[in-house]
Amino acid sequence: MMTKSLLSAGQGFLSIILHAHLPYVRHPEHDSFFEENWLFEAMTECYLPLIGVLDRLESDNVDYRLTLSLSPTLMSMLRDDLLQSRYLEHLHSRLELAEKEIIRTRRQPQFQKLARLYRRFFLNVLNTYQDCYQGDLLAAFQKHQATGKLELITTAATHGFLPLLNVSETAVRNQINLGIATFKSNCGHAPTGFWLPECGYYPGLETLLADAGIKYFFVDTHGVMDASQQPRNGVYAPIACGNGVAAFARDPESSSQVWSTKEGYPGDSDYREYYRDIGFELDADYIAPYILDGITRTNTGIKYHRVTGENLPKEIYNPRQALAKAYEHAQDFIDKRQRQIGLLGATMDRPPIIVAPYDAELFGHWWFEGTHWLECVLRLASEKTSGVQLISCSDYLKQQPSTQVATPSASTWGEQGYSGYWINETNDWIYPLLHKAELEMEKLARVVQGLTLTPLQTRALNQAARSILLAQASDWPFIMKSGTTIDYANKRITDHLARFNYLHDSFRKNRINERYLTALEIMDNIFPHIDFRDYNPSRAGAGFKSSV
Amino acid sequence: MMFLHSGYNSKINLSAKEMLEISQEISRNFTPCYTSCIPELIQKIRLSPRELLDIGEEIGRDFAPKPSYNTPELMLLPVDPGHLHAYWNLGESRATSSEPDNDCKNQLTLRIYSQSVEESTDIETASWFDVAIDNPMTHQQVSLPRPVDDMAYSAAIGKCCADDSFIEFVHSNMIHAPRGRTAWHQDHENSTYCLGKNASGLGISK
Repeated sequence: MMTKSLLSAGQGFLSIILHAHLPYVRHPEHDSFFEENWLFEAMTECYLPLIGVLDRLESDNVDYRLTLSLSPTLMSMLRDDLLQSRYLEHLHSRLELAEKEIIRTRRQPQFQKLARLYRRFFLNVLNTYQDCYQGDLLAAFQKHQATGKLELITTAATHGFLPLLNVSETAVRNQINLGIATFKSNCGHAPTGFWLPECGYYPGLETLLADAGIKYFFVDTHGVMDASQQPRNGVYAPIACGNGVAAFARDPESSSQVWSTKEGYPGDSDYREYYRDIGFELDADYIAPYILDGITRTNTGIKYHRVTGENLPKEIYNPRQALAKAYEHAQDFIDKRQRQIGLLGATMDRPPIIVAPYDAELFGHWWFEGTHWLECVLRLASEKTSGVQLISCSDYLKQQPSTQVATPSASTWGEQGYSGYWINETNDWIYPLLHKAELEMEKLARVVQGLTLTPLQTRALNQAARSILLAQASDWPFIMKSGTTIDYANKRITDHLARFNYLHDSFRKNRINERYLTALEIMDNIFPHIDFRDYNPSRAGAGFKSSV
Repeated sequence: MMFLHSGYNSKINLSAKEMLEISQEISRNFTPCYTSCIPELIQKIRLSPRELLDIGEEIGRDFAPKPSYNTPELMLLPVDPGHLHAYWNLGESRATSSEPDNDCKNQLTLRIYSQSVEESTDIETASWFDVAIDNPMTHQQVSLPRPVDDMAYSAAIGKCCADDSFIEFVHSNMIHAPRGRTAWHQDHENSTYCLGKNASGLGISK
């Protein structure tokens, strides 16, 4: 049905999706732990400033639309008492450092101005966290969802890379179903959309998504361009998978404007330089209380320089100039979408939708001014004259049901667009181990079907399922390939699998040590309502596609 | 020596020994400890961070994951339109056997079968190519000679015999390689297709 008449000529939609995810990095067995800082940095630099953006848009009555995908591991960590209290300590320590910096830079007015800016920034974050939302960031996002302007969706339980877990349908089904269950228990309702971890899709996945009540998901550009039927509208309209689920594809143009290391906005010379942090630059004795164990240099979040340019000495950061540039870039982004929509409108049988998904942590963390850019984009697009209408994918589906039936092609986002980043010479050793553990878990669930288990046995099997899920996170092979904190990624996988092996062995020998089991439950306290019986393939639907 | 309370004019005097005992008792009973938040937990067990660490390390050491050699298996995984990944184990006996079978080469062979998706249930219609593998190896990335859309692949490991027959030890699952009309070809032509996941190519501080 032609619905173009509903809109003025040249009008179309823009859907911005932020995917917020961090692996489960909670370590109660240590007083402080480096990788927990991933969460704290993201909260300080990305999630809380993003909440600030939403609060301002709301108080200014801006009619924006935004979709935010919250991973179950992130939701669990944001609601965790231990991490919440550790975060407050972290934030107070940043404030203390900013105070010290104001004193240290008293004879360097340009630096002192920035030190004062950081103090204000940390105080704002603290105020939003503690006073406005009482430490509950999810409540803040839910408040904005209630306005109808923010749509919350979720992803797989531990962000498992589904195309390489697909040797067992039960493994994939559990990642999906438990992800959705965690979302429901935290947000109070079921999500309509689903973020496939790493945009990793394989034909057939839509069946499991439909079974879980999902209406749409995202793939990278080539997932739709190489679909079983040539897409009539390219990536500017979703395709129907034929089972009530639609696939939206990433627009390459709006994507590269933000992602690309070369042409992307974040590389502009006026923006803050991420890699010049005082944690690596100041005297060791001075900075010791604010880095790891007082010895290992780490980011503090205080950075005084701007990108400046390739092979040039770094100049001092000028926040006013940077914010003006972010506004300019936002205007450029909207102008380009407007032109795109104008061109697309002439060839399409429906208003186009430009789908622009990004990692949430890019905004504010890697790209310090990114949250300001986003706020400007949302404000500009909400103006009646912009010709670009913001929309969520679920609202687009209600207005423009996808009519072309096709199956997307197997694809991922990232380097080369396929699974190669998650399976290569750096990380391929993990797959036989992950698949073997999954198979063992399914066997256990099948063997005990119909048996009455003691509460202790049930706890052991539930904990075994948690261990498997945590080992399956896509982050570990990603880190192994990117070459950053490889030792940590190796240890996470081997520790989680060792914990599974231990529980499996204890259960088989009927020698479950409650003290040890409790220790594992304390350390890996995610998914409190998990049911190991879901690993029984006959209950879940299907199981392992074993070799012959 | 006796200590006097610093405030409230308390009349309780404490010896150093008493102070130490009280302090130790408080430490013992009230050191920050964790208990499980899992709902089924009935009897609460309190564990200090040190105890958690020790238990975690002991389990990590004693139950480290190891590949399984008991059951022969061969698993194929899709990588991209031009590559598959295979991993296998041939069971204890095959893995250690170096005796050549009569009329068969001692070289292990990974045979990759390909067939169109419509025919994927009928092994008779499959074509194949062989990849020589060394005995100690347990995995291999396989380049597809000519990536074709809508092909299904399976594999077997065995030995080729002089009469061109193939003694199969283990057969794999069946998979479909991704179609690759857009990204794969563009990438191989060094086009400007957006490869980076984000501006830095990394996630947060990973």
